[in-house]
Amino acid sequence: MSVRSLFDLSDHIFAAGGGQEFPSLSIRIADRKVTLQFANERAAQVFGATFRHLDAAGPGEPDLLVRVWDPAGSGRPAPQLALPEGNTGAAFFTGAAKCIVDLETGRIEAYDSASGLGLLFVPDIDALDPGYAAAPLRTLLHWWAIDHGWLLLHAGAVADDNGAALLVGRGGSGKSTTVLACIGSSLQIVSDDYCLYRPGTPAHVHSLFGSNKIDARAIALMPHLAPAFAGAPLDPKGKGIIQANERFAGSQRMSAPIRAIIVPQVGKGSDCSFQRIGAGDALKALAPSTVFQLAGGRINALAKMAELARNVPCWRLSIGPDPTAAREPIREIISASARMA
Amino acid sequence: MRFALNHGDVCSEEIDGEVIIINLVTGCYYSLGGSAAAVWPLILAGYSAAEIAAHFMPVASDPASVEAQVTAFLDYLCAEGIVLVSDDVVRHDVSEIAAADGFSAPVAEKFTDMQELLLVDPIHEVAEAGWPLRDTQGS
Repeated sequence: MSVRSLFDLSDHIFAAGGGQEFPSLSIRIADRKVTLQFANERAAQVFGATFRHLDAAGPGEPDLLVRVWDPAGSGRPAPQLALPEGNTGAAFFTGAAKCIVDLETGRIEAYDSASGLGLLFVPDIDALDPGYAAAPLRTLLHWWAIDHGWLLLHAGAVADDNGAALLVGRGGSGKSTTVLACIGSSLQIVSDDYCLYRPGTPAHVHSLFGSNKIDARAIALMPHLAPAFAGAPLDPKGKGIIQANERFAGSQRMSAPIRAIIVPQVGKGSDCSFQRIGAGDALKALAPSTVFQLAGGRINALAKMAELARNVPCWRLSIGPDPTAAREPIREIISASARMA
Repeated sequence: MRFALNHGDVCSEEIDGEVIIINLVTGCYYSLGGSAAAVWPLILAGYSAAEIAAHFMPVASDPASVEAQVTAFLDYLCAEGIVLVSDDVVRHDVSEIAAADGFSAPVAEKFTDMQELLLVDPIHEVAEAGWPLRDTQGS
């Protein structure tokens, strides 16, 4: 089976469904309409959850249509791509229609730029890693973003009325903890771990996923969040996953102009402090962890991130034992950076 | 001997006088500052070690050692897969070479903290014709 035939198979399942109505969710991402069409209610429940915080889109053709199905739950046929055995990671089929296959799970994301059609196939939704369901379709959305001159970033983002700060760094650097520490303040969450960067004057960050993840150690530092994470599904690293907007009304913002880049680090002192850093230091924190997760378009991605780092003030935020103490410094950073713009 | 960026496997950006280089294959990334950042655009422009050295000798405290230091740096970049020796490179004169205040042995700061991510979750590029043909067009 070729990559192109994946789309033919999806036509067979969805377009030629004999007039069958499929559950769907239409949302706005960066002012574009994106429609997710699911083969059954279970898929809609699992994959729709992390997108429901986004503004609903009205009538009209979507800029991106994503069809989602699993044979185990929907009884629909499974694609049969010839793949080698004994490899880990993912196989990225380049070409006019792109496709990435997770070699461990058999999960497939595919995107045809010409038709604006995306596909997500998972062998069995009930066996799905909750961590993937929290931030699904990342590769597909990356390809779609490239078509619009945007970029998927591995970054958290928080914002107030003055604009947004990106929180950048590799996994474990404190991005998610800092983002969740902002709940209950005037800062709202744009993204936990992945967001969409739209270049411009000013550049904007757009929310993609409404899920937030932190581990038990971080929850222990912010006990006021513990009730929200009680009984939450866990990702393979043991991080609890919630939809922040469902637990904390008004905690989410869909987009904001980017005013600053913040590189958080766990400080040794008892206080939270911040200082200006060079754009190169910010780029080193942002670019590798983003680039190595992308399939295709990586060279242009580095150039885009460098452009962003050149154009906004960059800061290092040293976080003390109480993550909530970072709220005021982040507000100060955004406010000061907005004045510099 | 001239050199070319290992296109497709490596990308780089100059930012605030610092050059960030990412090797997409090994998962390593590098920072060039000081003389290394000043040397970098000349390498990309197809200058040989001797031609690069000639630019910096007037400002070096030990001009006789400059070419050997540049050569050692180029050897390192080759060993790391960042640049390739290429007979096809045609030198392009760099019209705006930053004035050098001095010269010190060019070195790259290497970071390996992202390698684990790449090793655990590698992305194997496959041409449309199918496995295991690697896409030679770059990305």
